[in-house]
Amino acid sequence: MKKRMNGYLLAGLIITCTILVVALIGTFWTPYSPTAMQYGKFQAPTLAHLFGTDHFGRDIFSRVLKGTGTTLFIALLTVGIGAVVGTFIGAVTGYFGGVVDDVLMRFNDALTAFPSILLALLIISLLGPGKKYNVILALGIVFIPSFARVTRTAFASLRDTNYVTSARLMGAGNARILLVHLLPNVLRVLLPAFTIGFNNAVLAEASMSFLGIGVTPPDASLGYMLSEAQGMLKAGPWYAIFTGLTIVLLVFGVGLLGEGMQAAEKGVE
Amino acid sequence: MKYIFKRIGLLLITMILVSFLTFLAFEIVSGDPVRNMLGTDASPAQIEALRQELGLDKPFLSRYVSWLLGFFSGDLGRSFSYKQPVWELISSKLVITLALSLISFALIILVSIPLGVFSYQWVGGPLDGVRTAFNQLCMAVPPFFTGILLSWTFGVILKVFTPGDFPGFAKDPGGSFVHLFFAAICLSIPRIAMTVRMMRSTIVDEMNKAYVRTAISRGNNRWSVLTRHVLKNSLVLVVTFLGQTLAELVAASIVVEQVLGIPGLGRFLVASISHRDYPVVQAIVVILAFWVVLAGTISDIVNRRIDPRLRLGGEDE
Amino acid sequence: MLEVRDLHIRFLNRDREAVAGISFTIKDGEIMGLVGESGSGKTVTAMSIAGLLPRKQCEFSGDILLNGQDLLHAERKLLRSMHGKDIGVVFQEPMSAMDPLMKVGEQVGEVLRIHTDLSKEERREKVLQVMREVELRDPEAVYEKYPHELSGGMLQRAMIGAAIVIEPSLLLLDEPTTALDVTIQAQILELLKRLNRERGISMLFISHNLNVVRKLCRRVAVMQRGKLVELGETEEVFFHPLHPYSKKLIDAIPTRDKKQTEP
Repeated sequence: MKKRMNGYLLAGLIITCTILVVALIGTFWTPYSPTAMQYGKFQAPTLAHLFGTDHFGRDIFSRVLKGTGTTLFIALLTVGIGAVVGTFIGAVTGYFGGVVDDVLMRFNDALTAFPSILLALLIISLLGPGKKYNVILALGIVFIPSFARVTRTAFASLRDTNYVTSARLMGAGNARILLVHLLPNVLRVLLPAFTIGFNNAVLAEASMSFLGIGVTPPDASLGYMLSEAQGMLKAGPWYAIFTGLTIVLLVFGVGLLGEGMQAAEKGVE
Repeated sequence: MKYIFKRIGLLLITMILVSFLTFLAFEIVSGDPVRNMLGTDASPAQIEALRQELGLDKPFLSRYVSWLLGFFSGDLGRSFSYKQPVWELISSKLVITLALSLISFALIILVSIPLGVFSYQWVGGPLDGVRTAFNQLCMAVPPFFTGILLSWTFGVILKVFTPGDFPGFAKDPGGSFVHLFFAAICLSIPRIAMTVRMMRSTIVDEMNKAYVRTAISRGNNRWSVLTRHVLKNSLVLVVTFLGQTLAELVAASIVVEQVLGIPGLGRFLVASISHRDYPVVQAIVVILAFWVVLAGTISDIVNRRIDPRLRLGGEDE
Repeated sequence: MLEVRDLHIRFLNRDREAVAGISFTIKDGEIMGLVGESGSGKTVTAMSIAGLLPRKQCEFSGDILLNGQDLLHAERKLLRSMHGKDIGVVFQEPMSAMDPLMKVGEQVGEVLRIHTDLSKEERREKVLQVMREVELRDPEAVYEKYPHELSGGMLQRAMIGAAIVIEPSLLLLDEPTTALDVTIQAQILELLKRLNRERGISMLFISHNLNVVRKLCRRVAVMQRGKLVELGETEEVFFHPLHPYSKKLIDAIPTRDKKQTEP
């Protein structure tokens, strides 16, 4: 008996959806312009400026709204690249097996063993630092191996089931079996992997931007804002605190979502 | 003994492969470092002179081979931007980063193993859900945010240490340790949470195995089933996980070093990437790759001690 | 010596009772067989006698008395003091029933470590002695081996040794030969017969294979869907089965090599 809903899933959904909605609003409308420098420097949080203002007199709440959107955009695209390419590799290696499988998976293992931040740094240093799409590409490449491994296992375990054999006997081609019969089943393992990957992407992007080799102005992600905030820690710690807490909340919400999915899969509360 | 040789061989092959790939990657994508260094208005003669000085006029393969030979004789090349031997630039930073990683690693082991066992005791209890949520929360805290919070509370308000002013081991070993310890806390919080989580689920899995029933049928109580049988069996996975953690710590410390102003390898790596100082990047990447493989080797050796099945084939001892 | 009276067990997530009111007794020094196919409730019965029933997950009633002591309702602590000491258990698959990371000798001596004050050397002496008794060749070497280094037959001998090292009142054997091949199976049965003859250990032998039970047990109980459908002298049941289900089991004998595993 599987339980579809559980506490983690519910809490995760609420947090994640709230942030998604807020970020979506932030892309189109913010209470103040996130880049206007006219609201007085270093103001502590008030009703007018919920999160206070920064060293240029910008409204931090508006900046966080906008920055959350940027972070989400980068993270989703990144994980998207990783998931799509990874699933493709996983399908090819898991379903067909053989030499391609051996070679690709060895290579995959070697890549996974390598710390992801380091790999991303390396790719960024090749592509050129400080550009948004380079960050997305670099992180996307870094996330391919983990998705490939997860989906490969799923494809390989499904390959020999009666269900696939019968589809083959009925004359379905490889492409049809992969797309129509296997992919929906693989989604089950892909979703939790997607939440983990998403969180890693948020944290990795934040790290990159924090280091100054990720997103650069006029784009501002939460990580980039945190590195700005660090400079004004003495005069206005609220900038760092609110920005940091937003990252924590985002990652926490998606983490709970993943936890909930795994719990639902196992059928335990 | 044979096993050790095999591992060392693997280590060498990995490093040669990694260094070749990074070398090749930089060769293909890098653009012209000389033009970067001299600016756009340099004369062709100047550029040619610098190319010769840096050895860039030679073909790719011969440069790689001479770099490789140099590497194994302790010469890591010269930095483009500092015009100094790379080894001189990075050796003291390497020590700091390694110290930071090892302190964090010790912290992770000391905290997460007892906590993992403890959290198993909660499985199925009323607080289990709260614990899981708290665990997820700790995993969500990025080290650089903890770093900012710590440098605000302990640096700005309590003035226990001065962020950005790392005293250095020679001058003030105690102060340096405090500095590194704060950085280690930042690094270890999410990793402790991950380790606890994976320990808990490993122990739960092991508890469902048949040998546990045998142990109970012999009169073991819950505690001695755990300590005498299950823990040791869980350890193999935990050690592998910790090995990966040890490998990742060095890379993860890059960001924390930046926050707390610790002059380690990470900060220097980031600066060198920004300046496109490839000899430095190359050397650091190869050293870190060495570290990654080394961490894997250590966890393998430890696991062979724990699990006799991994020693099959009589390669060991 | 062992008396089971009107035992009922139902798992909380099931409607049907796993054990639906069974009663039988085992006399001192007797080997009793318990036969039934998988899902008949024989393993649940055995586990409840061994005190290994997951009590939180089921409802139960009735009595299981071992030398007058109630096992079914006994407190955890009391049960623990009887585990291994009064009841020894041998499980189906020796390879998975043994801790893969503990030396075989230590596992055989575990009961001694828990229930006696013997020193390490004395325990070792006893373990080597019992290993000889269950006909393990070269016990000194076997003592130092890990489970994966021994064959299934050797492991099962070691498991039997571990279960009798402290002379329990009852030895529970849950399909101990099912996972072994036929020649080893015969050897293990011979060993059990000898132990019963020489040391007078009472045994409850559980199997889905009536032919194996026939070689070992004087009396046999046949279970189907949680109920005892037949109980009597083995030969009697074998040649004049009263219940159609027993007949079915006997007819199934030629296909005994078809290995069935309990869930």
